[in-house]
Amino acid sequence: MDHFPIKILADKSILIKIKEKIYCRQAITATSYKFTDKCNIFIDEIDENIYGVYFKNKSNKEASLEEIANEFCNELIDQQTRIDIEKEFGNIRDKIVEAAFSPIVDLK
Amino acid sequence: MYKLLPFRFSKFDSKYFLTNEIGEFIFLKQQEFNSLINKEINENSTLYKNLSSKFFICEPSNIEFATKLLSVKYRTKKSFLNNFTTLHIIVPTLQCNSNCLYCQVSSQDSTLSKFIMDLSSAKKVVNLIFKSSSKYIKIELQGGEPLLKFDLVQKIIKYSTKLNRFYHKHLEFVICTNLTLITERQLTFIKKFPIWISTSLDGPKEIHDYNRPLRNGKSSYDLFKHNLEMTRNIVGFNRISALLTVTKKSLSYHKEIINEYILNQFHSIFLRSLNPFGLAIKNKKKLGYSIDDFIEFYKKSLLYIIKINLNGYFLVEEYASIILNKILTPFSTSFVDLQSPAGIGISYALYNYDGNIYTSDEGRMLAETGDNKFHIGSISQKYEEIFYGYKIKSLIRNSVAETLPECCFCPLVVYCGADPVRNYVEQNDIIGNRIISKICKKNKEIINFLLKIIDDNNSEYMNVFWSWITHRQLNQVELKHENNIC
Repeated sequence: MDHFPIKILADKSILIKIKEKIYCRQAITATSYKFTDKCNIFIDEIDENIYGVYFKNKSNKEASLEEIANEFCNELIDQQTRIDIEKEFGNIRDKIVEAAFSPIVDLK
Repeated sequence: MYKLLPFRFSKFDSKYFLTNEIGEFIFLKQQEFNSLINKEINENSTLYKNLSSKFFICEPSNIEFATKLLSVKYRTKKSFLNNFTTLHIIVPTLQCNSNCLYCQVSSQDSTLSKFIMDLSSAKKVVNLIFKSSSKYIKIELQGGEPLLKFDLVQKIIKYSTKLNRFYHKHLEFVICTNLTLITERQLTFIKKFPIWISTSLDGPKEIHDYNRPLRNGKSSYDLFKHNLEMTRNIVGFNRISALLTVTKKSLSYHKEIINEYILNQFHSIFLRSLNPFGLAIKNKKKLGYSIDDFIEFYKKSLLYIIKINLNGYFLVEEYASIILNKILTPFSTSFVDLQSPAGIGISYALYNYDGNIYTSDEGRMLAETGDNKFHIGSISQKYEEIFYGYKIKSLIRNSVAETLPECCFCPLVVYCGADPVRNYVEQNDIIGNRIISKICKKNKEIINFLLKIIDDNNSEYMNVFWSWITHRQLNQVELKHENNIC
């Protein structure tokens, strides 16, 4: 657990510090989105090149925030992988769709 | 070194499941997936050939060719867009002799005359319908109970047929009826035209009568049974099909409900969950259930239906068949609830008895509560104002599943669709949050259930699936060997 950047704060909420060098903002947002039903999540820039993701229990829902934060770390890898491979073929996807509808003169 | 072509992925039990833009799919072990993205797959391996033939990877020199081929296949997958609005639902009257507990159209007592479309409006509706650029026109007469105003129904059908002598479209009609009022005279008329009858059967007498009581207190089931036989005798066996609505009462009787379909010699069944509209909301305590309850009902029903097919009775589960078509064939389907962009307005529209036009049935229902979110115009407007207007464009722009949060990375997006009306009803937002969406959960669970069966590649089950897709008897599609996925 020592290497996990999970910190329990005084008000029992949890903070995860994430290096922008490793995980981009899009991956952090996409990951956070997946957990919005379980707890309240807030993303902030807490230092230069460091994002902070705060987890707080919903008023009507007591959840194990530590467990959620651990799941969040795994999901973050998943989301970052998607974005990394998307970089390789994202433009090809655009070309496929563009070519598929190319008989249409005014796409806009 | 090979190049990756566009794909989406998710974990699938201990494996990874990948799809691409054209709906090709592959299951990979964790190690294979890692090798794929790290570009470590040996080009002489079977895995390399599989990935390559399904367009997940290609040689850098072939990128241009692969892109062109993928775009052609993509166009085929999206070919439902070629036709623009095909399904046109007309509500000639809201009057109904039935008082279904889950009625989503706020049907009215048959003595209330104000809920009827007049002939002049009906003609205006038909004129608008024929302005659609689609070569295929399906006019669905819904209600209320359209047979209560059969004279108007006849006039709409005759006028459309006359107009089509000029337009030369592929024209057909559907009459949605509870069948309890149908007469020999009406059936004789129906037989002369390309009219299909869509009715409802909720299961054995006890369930059917509970869900669908008649206003006069008589059994709707007894009348249904009697009139079903008469209908088939006059118009033929294949012109009538039935739909099922699953209520809380249905949940413990999946076998009995399916057996009822067989008893009545139907060869298709559509396991439909309750829609959260109209009386279904008011009667939630009596009828409602959780989405998990429905998914469980669906799964056990599907397995039972597969078993029935294996025992020699051809019975298609329509929802599974639509999804399987999307997974196992390169073609698109015309099922509007699983489309991206959504089918509202561009694939179907609803013309209400009062001349108002909505993107869908549910849109009309919302208008009853004072919310005109899905109201797109009225019959007094020009076709272009209604169907090329800002309202439709704005709704469609926000209902392209590939661009929606969560859906954009979901490998199931190619088999699924956007449902802005349902999102709006459940979450007051046409885009909606997928994480809490019931419809997303339902579709994911059902598609994954089918994918699990496909991945297991049980030849008997796969034969049943192919018989559904091709609408042929099991013995006509049976393959005795393994690997009949493709």
